[in-house]
Amino acid sequence: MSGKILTRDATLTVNDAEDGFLSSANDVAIVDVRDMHSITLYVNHATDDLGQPNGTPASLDLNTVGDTIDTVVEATEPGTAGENITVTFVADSDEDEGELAVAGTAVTFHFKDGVTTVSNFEDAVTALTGDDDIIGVATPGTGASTLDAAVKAELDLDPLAVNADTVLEAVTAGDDGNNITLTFVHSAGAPNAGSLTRVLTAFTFTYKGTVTTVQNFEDAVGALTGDDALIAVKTPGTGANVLADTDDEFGPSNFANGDSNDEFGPEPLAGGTDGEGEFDLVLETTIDGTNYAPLATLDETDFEEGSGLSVEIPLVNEYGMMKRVREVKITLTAIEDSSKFSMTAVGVEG
Amino acid sequence: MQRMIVKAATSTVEAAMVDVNTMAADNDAQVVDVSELSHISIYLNQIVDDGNATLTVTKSVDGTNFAPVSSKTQGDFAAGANKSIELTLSDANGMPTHAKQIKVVLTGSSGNGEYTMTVAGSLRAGYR
Repeated sequence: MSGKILTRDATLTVNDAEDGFLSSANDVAIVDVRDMHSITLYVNHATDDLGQPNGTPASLDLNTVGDTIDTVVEATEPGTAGENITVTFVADSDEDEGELAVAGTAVTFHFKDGVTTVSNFEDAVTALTGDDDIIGVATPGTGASTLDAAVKAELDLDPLAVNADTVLEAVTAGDDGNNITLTFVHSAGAPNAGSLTRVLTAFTFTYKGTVTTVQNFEDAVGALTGDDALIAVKTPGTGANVLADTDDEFGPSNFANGDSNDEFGPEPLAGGTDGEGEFDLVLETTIDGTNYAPLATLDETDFEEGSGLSVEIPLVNEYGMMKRVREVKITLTAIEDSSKFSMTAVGVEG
Repeated sequence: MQRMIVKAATSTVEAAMVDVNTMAADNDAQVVDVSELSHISIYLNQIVDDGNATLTVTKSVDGTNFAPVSSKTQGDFAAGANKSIELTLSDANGMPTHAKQIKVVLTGSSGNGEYTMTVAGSLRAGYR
């Protein structure tokens, strides 16, 4: 076969967005191929707008992480990217209606304990605009319900021991504090001031009977630092009381009554799915520049997922005989997303 | 491969004389000589979309005897003006077949539809 290879991009004759691509409904591009034979057309998916708009938005039923709050929120945009969004509720606001803050993909609602309502939260979400508008209310909750701050888990030693009467609390409010345990055990070999140790959430206070005092124990609790600082003295006991060999042994005993209520997070949204937007491309040929015959119709199912991928269409009849035409026209007849297309013809000069 | 040639068929029968360049009435016919062409595409063109019509395409190697190529009705066209149906001349292996003439005859017309035929192909070796 003689003749050089010619490659020619289709020229846009209608380009509503003026972006140099077939990107809006009814955009048209035409390529003149009358000086070529053995022609192959490349329809190029220059930009594949993944995640738009037929995917599922990520969502979060706040009732699964909060207590009173029962709103279901979802990402404003569909797609797996919404799973990067997190929601945090913190009871640290002085404002009755609370305050909603968005930092990147982190959404934090600051509420006033026992005052701010579910409706206040939903109103704040609905009022988000611009770059902050990353979540919306999918299913409203019980609007009049007020949000409650988390409560710290506690352990009163008075019912457990004869001489120890301190009331302890978890440093961090929430139901996780209910996992903390405390054991008092007597050992003749213990230091006079006793020794407080921790394995995960299990604390053990080893004391020397008739020597170690309640004050010694409270001092040991107060001296906890770093990862060990899970508990604190809420109400001091009778510091001068001396612990007895066996009467003050107990445990392991769980802290109790900790409740996260409506403080939680950061909790991620989940369940987002990507979905390709639908589009239709119609290719036609003409030999006189006026009358057009259908050549092919392409839609989103004809392209592999990703940008810069093409569909190749050889200009042949159903048996493979190459055809000659004057022009090939491509029309983007429908589009739901922000994909961009172009068309290139390649053939042999002649 | 030589250059591409486009040729419009010429009306040989014009019963209604709506337009001398189009077929609009029963038995209107157009013929085009394709002796010098290979890789032939035949475009049946719907110039005006109105009513029904049947277009019967035949080919001849001697100008006298005609073999069937295809038959299309108004319903085979996309709706609207300037819509075409493309037919090609090849065997079932994709080898181009040749002819001296292509003829199209309009029958079964109703309404005011108008049609033409145009062909395109590569100029065969030996022709300039």
